[in-house]
Amino acid sequence: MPSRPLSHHLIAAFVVAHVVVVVATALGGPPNLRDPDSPGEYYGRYLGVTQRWFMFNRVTAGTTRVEIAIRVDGAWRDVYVERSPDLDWNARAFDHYRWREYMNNLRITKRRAAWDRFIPWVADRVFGDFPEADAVRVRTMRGKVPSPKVLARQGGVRYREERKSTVVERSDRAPP
Amino acid sequence: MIALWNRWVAAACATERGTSQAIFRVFVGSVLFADAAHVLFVGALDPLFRPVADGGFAPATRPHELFALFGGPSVEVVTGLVWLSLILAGMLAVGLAGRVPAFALLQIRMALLTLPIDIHGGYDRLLHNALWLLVLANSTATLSAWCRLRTGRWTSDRLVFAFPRHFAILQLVVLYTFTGLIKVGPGWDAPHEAVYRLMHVTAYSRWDLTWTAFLYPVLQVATVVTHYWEVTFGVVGVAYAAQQGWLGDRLRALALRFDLRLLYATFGIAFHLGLFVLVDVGPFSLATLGFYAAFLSPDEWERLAARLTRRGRRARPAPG
Repeated sequence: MPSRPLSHHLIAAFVVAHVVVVVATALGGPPNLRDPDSPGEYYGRYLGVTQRWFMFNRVTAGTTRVEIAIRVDGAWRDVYVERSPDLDWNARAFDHYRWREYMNNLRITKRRAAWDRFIPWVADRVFGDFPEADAVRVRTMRGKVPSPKVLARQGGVRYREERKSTVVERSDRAPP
Repeated sequence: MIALWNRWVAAACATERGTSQAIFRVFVGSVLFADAAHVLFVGALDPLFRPVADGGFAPATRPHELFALFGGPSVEVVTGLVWLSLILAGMLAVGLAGRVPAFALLQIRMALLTLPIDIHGGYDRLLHNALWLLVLANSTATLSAWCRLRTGRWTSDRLVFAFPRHFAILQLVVLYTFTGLIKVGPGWDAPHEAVYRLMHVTAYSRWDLTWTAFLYPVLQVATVVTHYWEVTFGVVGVAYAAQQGWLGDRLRALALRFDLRLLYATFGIAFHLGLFVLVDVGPFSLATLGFYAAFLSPDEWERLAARLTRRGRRARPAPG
């Protein structure tokens, strides 16, 4: 067999290292690979070779949607309901997958910071777009994907249980 | 031992024409171009990527070192970097500047994702892996503007290392196997409602799919088939290794005779196209489809192109 250049031996060694890092990190990684200063961790952090594939491991029937409403003359009117084709204030942005991930955080009770940042931001924009509104309400409503027969009969998932709700008065957001 | 190592070196440094890796590049570049254009068009950067200190939602607790070059993270810097990503993705898709666009895109994307928390997904990991493979691959050897500038033609028979293509197959095997193995929770066990539920969960639904209720038994079957297809995807990895001759001549002949790639790739492509149409999981489906380009060798791609061209010629009436 003809001798090969050093670069080929280095490539062969690199191929071994790559396969080991990919498989080991997918498995959760031995402790030395999870060490923040290990070569395996650097390989993932700076060169994008991370392997944590926890996708759709649990798909429960529970589902939650975000609703935004304004109060005009004492009556609440929805302006945004997640995935509604009609109540679609700012839906072009909210339908983007990054926003979907953020909205997902709003459903999670532990992630309070996401909710606390969202409320004043959304209130200021809604007050700007709806001068008639004297208050904004943001809430998450919980529903359950029913059996196919019930789904067909009721024409979709029903969201009845209120999980979180915050009302912001215009006077609270108005500049001094 | 030395003989074994030398065999390994020969396998790791095998070369092939660059067609498959170029198609992978075009696909990944196009997905990233569309992704950057989409995020700019809908205005999804502000406030998600604006630092909390600046009135946004991004904690930016450990910003990437890249931001130090621009005086720290801000929504203006983020917007500029996404515009740069758009240009780089275009360069990647058309095949300009070799590996530079892939490496720069990878660093920019990883930098951007150090600002917000909890708005990342599997699509980010998959695209980052794809970009690193494109840094390793000489993917502009053919089907690229660089090839055109260099040779005056869009295609070239120049040989490239094949290992980045094998890495892409490994990536698919790891992705599906591990994602399949952890599917042990609700939805995946009886009555197998995962696919049915996913179509109606607010976070992922793209359209009102109430009309699909009558397809419930089909969606149950789809749940079971998807799960087993993912868990057993490693079999294709072994078959692929056998086809390359890494597991001996006898297994090579067997793997070539019963080509499992056709079965698994056909289902995979249909699955991801279906997923893309029915639910919104970001660029995950399209990014994954790019990896399927690696399943076909350059010879197979060229045979497929020749067959499609012949069919196209037959369909067109002769001039005059």
